[in-house]
Amino acid sequence: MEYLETFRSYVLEKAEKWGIDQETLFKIELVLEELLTNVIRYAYVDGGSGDVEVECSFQRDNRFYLSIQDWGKPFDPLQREDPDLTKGVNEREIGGLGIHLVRQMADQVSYNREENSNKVHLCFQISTVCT
Amino acid sequence: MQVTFNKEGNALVVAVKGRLDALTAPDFESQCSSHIEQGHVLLVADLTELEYISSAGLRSILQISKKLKQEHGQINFCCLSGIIQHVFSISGFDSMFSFHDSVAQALLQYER
Repeated sequence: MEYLETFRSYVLEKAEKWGIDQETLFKIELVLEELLTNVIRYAYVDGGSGDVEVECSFQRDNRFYLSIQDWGKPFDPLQREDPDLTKGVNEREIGGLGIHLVRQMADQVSYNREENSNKVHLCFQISTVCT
Repeated sequence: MQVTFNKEGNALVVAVKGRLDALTAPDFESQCSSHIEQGHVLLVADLTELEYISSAGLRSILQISKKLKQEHGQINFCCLSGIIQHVFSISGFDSMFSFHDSVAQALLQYER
């Protein structure tokens, strides 16, 4: 969990340098935390530790791309069922919110299982670029 | 993350400053829990200075409210910024809790 901050500052520093607005920065940060904590908690439960790779880029089409790759057990966030958001406090389950937030916050999410790795690609459409 | 607790009449105002994320949410939850155990069961969460929240923060809020329900207590919220309000709303929290524009308005709920 202590590596979370390293990834967070790496991605956010880049995104800020590219002039991405505060609201999109918040969304990027949230998506990154949700997916990384998922990898940290679940991907390597059997083996203990493993690698995770984060890449980001900003393209001329005003889109910010983020990808997160791990070599842990298969996990497709798109297959995960949404939590029931209509339940009351007592009935509401504790888990499942993170992936729901990822799908809501990113404009596009795709998943590939390739050569023993999970790779999640995300895209954020940027409305305003501050220069 | 910094949490400040202030007793206002029969309620406890919990002001949260900074970030409620995977690293800080457990501490927030345990601080609130110990106040609930001391008998403070009417809570107002003042989120004026909350800059960021993730599912870990939302989970801690849900745990706290489940604990409050058991004690016949309640939590309501005030002063959420636009993006924090958005996160609450897409998580379905807007139908579980009540939201107010100021601490004073939130406290009024407990005076009835």
